[in-house]
Amino acid sequence: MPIENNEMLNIRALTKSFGDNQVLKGIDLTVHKGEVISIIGPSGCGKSTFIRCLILLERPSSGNVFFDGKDILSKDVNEDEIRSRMGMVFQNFNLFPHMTAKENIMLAPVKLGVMNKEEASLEADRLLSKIGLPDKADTYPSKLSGGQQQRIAIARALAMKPEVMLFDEPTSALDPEKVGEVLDLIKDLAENNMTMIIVTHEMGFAREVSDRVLFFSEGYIEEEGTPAEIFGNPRSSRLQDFLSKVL
Amino acid sequence: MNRKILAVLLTAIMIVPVFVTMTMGDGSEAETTVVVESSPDFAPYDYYYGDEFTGIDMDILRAIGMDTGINITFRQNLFDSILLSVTQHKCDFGASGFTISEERKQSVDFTEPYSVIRQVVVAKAGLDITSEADVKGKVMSVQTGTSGADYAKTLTSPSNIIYQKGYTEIVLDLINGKAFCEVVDDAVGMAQVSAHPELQVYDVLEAEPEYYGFIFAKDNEALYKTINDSLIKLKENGTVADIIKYYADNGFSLDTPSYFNRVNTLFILTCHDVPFSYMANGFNAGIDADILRAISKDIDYKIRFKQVDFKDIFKELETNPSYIGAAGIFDTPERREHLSFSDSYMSDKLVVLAPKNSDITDISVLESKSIAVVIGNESDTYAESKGYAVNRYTENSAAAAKVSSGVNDCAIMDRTMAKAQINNHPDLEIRDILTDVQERPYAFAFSPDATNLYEIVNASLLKLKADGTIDDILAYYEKNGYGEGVPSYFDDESEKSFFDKLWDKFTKDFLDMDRYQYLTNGLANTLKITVMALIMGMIIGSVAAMVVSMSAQTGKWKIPAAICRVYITVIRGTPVMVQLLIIYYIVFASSDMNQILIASIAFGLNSGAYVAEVVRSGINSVPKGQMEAARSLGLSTGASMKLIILPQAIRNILPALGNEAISLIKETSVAGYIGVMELTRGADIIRGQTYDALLPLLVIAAVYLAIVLILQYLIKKMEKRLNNAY
Ligand SMILES: Nc1ncnc2c1ncn2[C@@H]1O[C@H](COP(=O)(O)OP(=O)(O)OP(=O)(O)O)[C@@H](O)[C@H]1O
Ligand SMILES: [Mg+2]
Repeated sequence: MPIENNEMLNIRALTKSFGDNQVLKGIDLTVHKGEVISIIGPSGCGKSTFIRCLILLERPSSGNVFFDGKDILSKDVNEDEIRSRMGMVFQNFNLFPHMTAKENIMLAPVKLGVMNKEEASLEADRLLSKIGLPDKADTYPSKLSGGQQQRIAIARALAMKPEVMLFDEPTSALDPEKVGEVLDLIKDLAENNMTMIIVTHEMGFAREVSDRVLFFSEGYIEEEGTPAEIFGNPRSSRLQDFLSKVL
Repeated sequence: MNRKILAVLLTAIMIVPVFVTMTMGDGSEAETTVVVESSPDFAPYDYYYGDEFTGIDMDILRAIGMDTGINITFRQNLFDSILLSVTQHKCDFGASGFTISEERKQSVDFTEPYSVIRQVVVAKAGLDITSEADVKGKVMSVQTGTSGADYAKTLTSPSNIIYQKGYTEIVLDLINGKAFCEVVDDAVGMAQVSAHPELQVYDVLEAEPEYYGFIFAKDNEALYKTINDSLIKLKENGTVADIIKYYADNGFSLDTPSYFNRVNTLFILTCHDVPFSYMANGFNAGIDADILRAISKDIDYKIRFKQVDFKDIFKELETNPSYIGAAGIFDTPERREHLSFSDSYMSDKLVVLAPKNSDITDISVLESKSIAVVIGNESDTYAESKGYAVNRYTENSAAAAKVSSGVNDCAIMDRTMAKAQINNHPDLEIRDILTDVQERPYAFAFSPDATNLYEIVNASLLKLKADGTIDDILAYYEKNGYGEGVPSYFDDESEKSFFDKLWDKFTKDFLDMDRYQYLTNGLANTLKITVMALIMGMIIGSVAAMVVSMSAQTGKWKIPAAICRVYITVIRGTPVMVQLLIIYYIVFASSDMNQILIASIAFGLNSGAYVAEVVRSGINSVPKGQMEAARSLGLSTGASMKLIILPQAIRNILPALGNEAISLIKETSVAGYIGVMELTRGADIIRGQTYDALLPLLVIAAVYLAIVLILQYLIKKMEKRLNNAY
């Protein structure tokens, strides 16, 4: 089997500037199917900007992003279609407050014609059981804890059966005692071979779940490797410095 | 793809009006029917009688319609707006008492004049105004754009002139003393006074006479010629004069129906003659007035009194067989040579009024008595001719008092008067001993040609004599002493409480002739316009806000967003009335489209700009993450807006949208400027008919308030529901 067929994302020389401020300074990365990649790094180094570029919430300034072999930055691409094939989980959950948990989950599949109402309803019930919240189907987000909300946000993304899941600090906004339930869910996804890129500050989690860990610094990938390499044998002084602060 | 739909929608909303104009333009039935615009608050030229256009203008045009076979329909508009409406071809021509002037001839063609007008002064009754000099420099209230306004400028300083939109406001200014007088066309002034007896017309101005004509657009030659030729013909054959005379005979009063819809009316010629005919409480009172009023009720006629000098009553009767003379007129053989007389309703005779124990039982003893008479009265003449010793008093009551107190032995006076005195002086009694005086019958005078009228009135008179009505009236005046201040038998005003009077006003304003229909129809139109405009405003506003917000977020759609911003700025930067006039008279200039629809479009466009700003702030109030989350799922920007952002934005802005609806419903009150009969205009029309300035305003204020309160309640409820939802 040729290697290319196994590639989910192929990112080449990706840059992003906000005005004069170049936030990403040339990122190269290949993500394979089923691979779990964690991104760590100090605040403001461009981690969020990077994954937002992948799902086109930000428009990269230059470079290429091949998704399943197709350049998603070319003009003739339907951005909405690309986004529908990726899932994104935000630090602040961003559930739709005017919809119940189940409606949040069902919205995209139904509106985008991926499923009819009955199918979407069954799928939502299945996902709600999977995340352990079958009894919260008709509850509005404001009545749910942070951890519950984040799990529903994950289920909402999963409902579209994404080919890749992007997480931007999914547990940063949670009370410490709620972090575990969300991480367990993500671990569960990893075990089921979901391709994932996870921006996180949970080093233990990154070490446990990742196939590869990227260390971002000032718009570059400063260092990358297996969890054992990154955490056990950091080479760059910046990474050593960073790890000494967070661990 | 969804963006395209949105862009198409936006363009559609912008061009729909134009499109509708094109498809709805030049109607094809316009050949047989012409539309005339008139401002029906200009009695006696233009007013509503019930829901019928009435007045001199209207009736002359009806006559022209009959003459030419053209179907003339009337439509109301504000006086100020009609000129524009004519030049912009929104109607075929205008008829609203337009004074022919060189200035106006620049923009319109005038027909031949059909009416001559003189400017007069209207002020509170009983003032000492005998010449133009008496009003110079005073505060004047006038209607904007009238000749009266122009003439007022020559009489007083500009700061002393109050410019009003309509005559109801002017009348109020006069009654409240805000203005000393009004300068106005004579017939219009008389119409005002007919509704407000506390006012009076003073014919003291030296202004040049003016002439009224109908106005046509300059390029409307064919119709102009037809109408003008017919008008000339009707002037020559006397029809125009007949119509004007008809209104004059009715005192230019506001409750005069159309000449072509005349109701039977008793026209009474009378003069001041207590106790037979005089004014009390602004009401024709007296024995004659009340008997004729009783007759008019009996035969179901209207009644109109015209005051002339006593001697002119007989003169006018000769030329005007439709009149009846009534002012305590004696039926005498000499008068019967020229006139006919009704049966007598009362007769009188000189009698002696003496103390009960008096020895005056025969005419012969009077020579030796001291006798009380009233100066210049019949009794004075009689006593004089007999050479009796008399004391002269100014009133019968004084004469009777002197007899009672013994100063005089007896009094000579008419039997009716004597009876009245006995009410106050039970010690006196009547001695019918004057053998050389005649019984004198009072009767109503008719032209000998008025046989029909005579028979109807006389038959009723006999009936009322038989059933005791006339006795009741006579007893009423006798009981009250025949004084000048005695109100009419039929005038129950003076006994009425404040609430009764208010109820009377209410009845007149809203129940008589179903006038409440102006308000109900007006309310229906107000609601129609408001609802249509609100829906349109919400759609336009939401679309414009979405375009502007999304352009700001994505950097795309620069041109549509610029269009939206210009639209929002222009609409919010100009008064809604100006927008309405521009849309009606310029944008839809050549359209026959229904005015209510045009008004709705104008208010919808107006409201849209305000809604856009509100919605935009609502969109901004929704956290950015919501849009990102929606888009990350693959929803398009448009779908995200519709499904995620707007529902949340609306909850945030519901109070502001409610305010917009509330101000919109009140703003529709300017729709009257393009001739829409909405609530405020409905009240104006009632005010123009009853000259009651206040009550209709209070009522519509209450109606607006009620609608707003209902709206507020609904919005509150909706807010609660939305707030409880999540
Ligand atoms: N929309 C934007 N406009 C301008 N500058 C931006 C924008 N978004 C991010 N930046 C800037 O880009 C830089 C990188 O931001 P980013 O959010 O990617 O950092 P991060 O690595 O995710 O940090 P954190 O760990 O705090 O989340 C920051 O300096 C930030 O100020
Ligand atoms: Mg970040």
